[in-house]
Amino acid sequence: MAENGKANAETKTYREALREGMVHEMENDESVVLMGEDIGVYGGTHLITDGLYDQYGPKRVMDTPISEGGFTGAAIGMAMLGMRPVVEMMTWNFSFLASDQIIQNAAKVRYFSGGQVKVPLVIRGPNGGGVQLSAQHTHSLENMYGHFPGLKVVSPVTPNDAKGMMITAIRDDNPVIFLEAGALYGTKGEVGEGDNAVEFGKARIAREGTDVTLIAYGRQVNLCLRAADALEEDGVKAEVIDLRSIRPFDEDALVESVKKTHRAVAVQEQWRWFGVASEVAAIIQDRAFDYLDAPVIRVSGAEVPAPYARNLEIEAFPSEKQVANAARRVMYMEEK
Amino acid sequence: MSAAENEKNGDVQSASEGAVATSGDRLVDLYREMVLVRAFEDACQRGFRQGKIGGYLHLYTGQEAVATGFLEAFREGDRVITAYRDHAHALLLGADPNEVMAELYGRGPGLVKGKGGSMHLFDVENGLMGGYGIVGGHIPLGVGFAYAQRYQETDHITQLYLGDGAINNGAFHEAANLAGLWGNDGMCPCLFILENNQYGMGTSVERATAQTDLTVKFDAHGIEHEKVDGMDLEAVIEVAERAAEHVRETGKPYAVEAMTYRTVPHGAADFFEKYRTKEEIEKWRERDPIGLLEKKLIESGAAEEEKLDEIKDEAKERTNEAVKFADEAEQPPIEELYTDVYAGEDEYMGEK
Amino acid sequence: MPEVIMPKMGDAMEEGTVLKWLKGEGDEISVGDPIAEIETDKVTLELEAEDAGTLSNLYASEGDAIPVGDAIAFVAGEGEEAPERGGEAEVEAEEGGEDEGQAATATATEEADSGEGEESSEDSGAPQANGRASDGNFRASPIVRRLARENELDLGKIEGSGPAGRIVERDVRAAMERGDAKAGADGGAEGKAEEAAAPQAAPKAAEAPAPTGAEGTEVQELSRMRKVIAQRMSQSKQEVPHFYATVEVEMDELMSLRKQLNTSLEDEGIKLSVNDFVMKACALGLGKFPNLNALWTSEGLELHEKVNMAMAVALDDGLITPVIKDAGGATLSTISAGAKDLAGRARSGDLKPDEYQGGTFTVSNMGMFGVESFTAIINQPQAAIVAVSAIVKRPSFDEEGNVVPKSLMKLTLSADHRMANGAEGALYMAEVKRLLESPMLLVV
Repeated sequence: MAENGKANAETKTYREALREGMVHEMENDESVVLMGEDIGVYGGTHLITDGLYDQYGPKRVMDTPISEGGFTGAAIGMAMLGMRPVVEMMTWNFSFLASDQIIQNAAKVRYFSGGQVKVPLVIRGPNGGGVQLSAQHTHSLENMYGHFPGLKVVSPVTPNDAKGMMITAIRDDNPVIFLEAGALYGTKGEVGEGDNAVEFGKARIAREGTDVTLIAYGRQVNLCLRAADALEEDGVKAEVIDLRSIRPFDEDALVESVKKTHRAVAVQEQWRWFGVASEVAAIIQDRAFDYLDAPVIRVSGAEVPAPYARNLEIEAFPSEKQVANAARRVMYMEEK
Repeated sequence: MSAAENEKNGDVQSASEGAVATSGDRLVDLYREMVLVRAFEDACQRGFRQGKIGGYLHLYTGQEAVATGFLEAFREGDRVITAYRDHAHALLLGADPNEVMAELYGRGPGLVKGKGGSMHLFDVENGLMGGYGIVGGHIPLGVGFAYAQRYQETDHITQLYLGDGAINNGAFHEAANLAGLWGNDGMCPCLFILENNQYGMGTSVERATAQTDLTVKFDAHGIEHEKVDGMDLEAVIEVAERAAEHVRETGKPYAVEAMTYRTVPHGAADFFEKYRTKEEIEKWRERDPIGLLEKKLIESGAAEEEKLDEIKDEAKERTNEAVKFADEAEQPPIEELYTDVYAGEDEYMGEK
Repeated sequence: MPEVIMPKMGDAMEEGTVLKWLKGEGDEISVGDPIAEIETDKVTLELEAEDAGTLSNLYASEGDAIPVGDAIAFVAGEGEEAPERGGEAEVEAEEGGEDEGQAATATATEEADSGEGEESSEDSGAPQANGRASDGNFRASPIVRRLARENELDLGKIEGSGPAGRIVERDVRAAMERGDAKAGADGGAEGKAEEAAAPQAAPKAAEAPAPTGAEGTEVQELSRMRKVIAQRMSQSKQEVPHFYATVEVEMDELMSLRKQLNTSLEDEGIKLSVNDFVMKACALGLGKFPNLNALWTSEGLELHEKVNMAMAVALDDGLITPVIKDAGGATLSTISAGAKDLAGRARSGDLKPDEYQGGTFTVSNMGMFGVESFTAIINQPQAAIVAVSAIVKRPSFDEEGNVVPKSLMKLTLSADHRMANGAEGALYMAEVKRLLESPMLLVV
């Protein structure tokens, strides 16, 4: 799909893009409020909400106690009465404390009320690792939340998508799990001016190719792009698909690409078992079986709690080399 | 004997100022409502035993005066949220008994289209924001409602019902803390109604918490509170109206602990003799809220015994009609399985 | 009917045991009296009476496990008697009707499923056997198997370069370029077997690649008729084992007879076409080959006495086959008039359904386009179709071996090998050839 709003684009950080998306909707809609730990006076641990407390005041930019279950549940209640809260999980690792609220209430209340209420809620924060936060502060939760009907789960990687998908998330009448690539807050990219809303459920072809499809989302998209550069030196043209959203999921984009390339590698930072990459592989074998020239390979994190030491952490996550070699394997080429 | 033991034996004294006189006619009307709730719950029990009602079934029998009294303070635009013992709240707020029973029978015209059952009655139009199945899990939602009510600059309040079992849950404490905090800014008109029926399933209050005076728990969160005899309808009404007014005016939360008793099993059946005695139940049955009100109506001359019998018969008839309606109602169409998952055009994501 | 039922006492309770009767038959009971001790998988409790009266019958004995909802006793009002247990059972059966209905539906579904399963395995029996024979013993990627199927390649002739000798896409592409992996011709068809030259039917939508969107392209959506044709032609080509047989017919005699007839019929406004003769010959010839004038049905061949001759008429956006009824019994002039009328109305879209349904055999003529030879796809569920090509003047040998000019026309039969053998196809085509070369036989 076209790069929304790129005609008037300015280079901004992922962090600024997120803030711009929220501000854009706060300006348009009084019912949008921000909530979270230290997002107000302090400006946010990751400075995503920096300056907004002064701009919008304490009723719209609410500092909460360290009480994830409580304030997430309260936000669900606000949403049920027509507000549009945007809740910051300081990191998604803390969301386990709120998962009863997210799963048992936000995801299901519309269904078990027979459609009498809706929950226009965004829960956002950094997801995944890469900055030596070790075991309790490193998780990729897209598959966990992606499992539950009633939730939408998205994971932008470019600053433009960070803003555009934030706008879409806030406008959505359903609870949206907004998984930010925390390690990329400082990265820059062109961001569309004004309303650059990005539709959910449409994958982005991050790079076109004909020989093998590399499928990822979030931070791993960048890894795949680097691997594609390396593969080009071998004469292999890799196509890179950025899923953007896990639920809804753009099955067609995968299938169309694999029908063209006949080979696929699914990449994820999270653990292999029961992960998104497994779903990718299943969809491809289901819908593009007769086009496959090799099994779909998954490249995933090591099956360990995230370690602290830099070298161990690097080893625990997928590397550019692993991705490139997986591509070579499905191409029946020598690994390097 | 400790206070808790006294309470368990039904010797609770109303901690409120004492019941104010409520007009005879109004009391007869409320008697009618309570009797309907009782008859409805009896019918539910029969329906469950006949296998017509599936899943879990939690009856309000014995606790009728609490919801009946507090909902007297309900004003249009207010919101009510409770846990899974929710039939009375739905009926008292004006839901059609036919639709409530149809829901329990899992039928298409059910209050929530046969998608929720006994634990998830919703009637948003009449203010009921739901029954919820996870103990304590609904409390933060109610606090959120209250914030929204002030953020949207209304004078509505939220009546948030919870049981003694929920008070030891983290969700209660997190939500109560937020309520206290937001109440400081006048942003949380939330009336906590703690229905202390003495047991969280089969575990008595004193076996579940060291601090058996449950109102103290609200002190920790800066929320003012009082107790009321939950079997005495007039006492409940008096507290309810005063508390609701306070909350509405100040935007601060307030808590009332209503001492009550469930004279039926926790679910449709339980091991009740393992955790309480027949004598204890008998003792409380003597303070049955309907029985107490009956006595009061006759003694005050507000109603004759025949009139009350007539009201009881009407309630049974109304309930029988609801049962008949539910029994004859169509099951939900299969297509309903796939609706209401998401708001918006695509209500369903997946294979059919 | 105040019967005492085994109550459901928990969400997962399915039956309970009557531990002990606390009241006996004939005892007076009032509401709330404990009448029995019931044990469930979770709890033992006293069952209280919900009705007052006389406990007239105890259906369950102590120790009996009774399903939830079944009667365990009967409480009779004054002068009332317990109903016969037989009647009781009937009532229950009626109440349980819904469940039974569901069970019956389930069984029916199962049958339908298994029926379908058999049918489909029958349908696909032959291709599966082929699949096993051609590539079942080889390691090959899915796309390789598909390419082999589509291009009739013998994977046994291709060397695999993947792990453990897996044949992968690059191997099969190389083999296709070299052209050395064609599967051997199947000896099914007699006469001259040809590669199918009919245009490839549109692949199923699900398998088709997305539009390229390249510059200078546009996407034309399929009309409804096009979709039906795509579906039916694909189905026929995939499901029906076609064999082909071609004959070359000397047409000089027929052409001169036609000229005579048309001259004498001119006043009646009749002009016989070559195709009218071909249809007549095909119809007459079928008299000796009833299994070629037949439909493939679920129960076997449906043989037709009369030949309802379908003729393919090309339209702007598709193709339709109006039917000349009983073409064998009709005179040439009747066939001619009918064909002209039907073709005209086919083009103007004025055909009635019964005018294009019920065909038993089809003729497709592309002679007017100068096509020298082609094969057609069988019009399912018919057994066969004859492709009629152009009459071409060519040097030919006469009986003495002299080179003489002759008007020659190729006819190619496509027939369903499930319904006819190659030899039958060949003999039939020989008969058609004989009739056309002795055209008086078509007039008498």
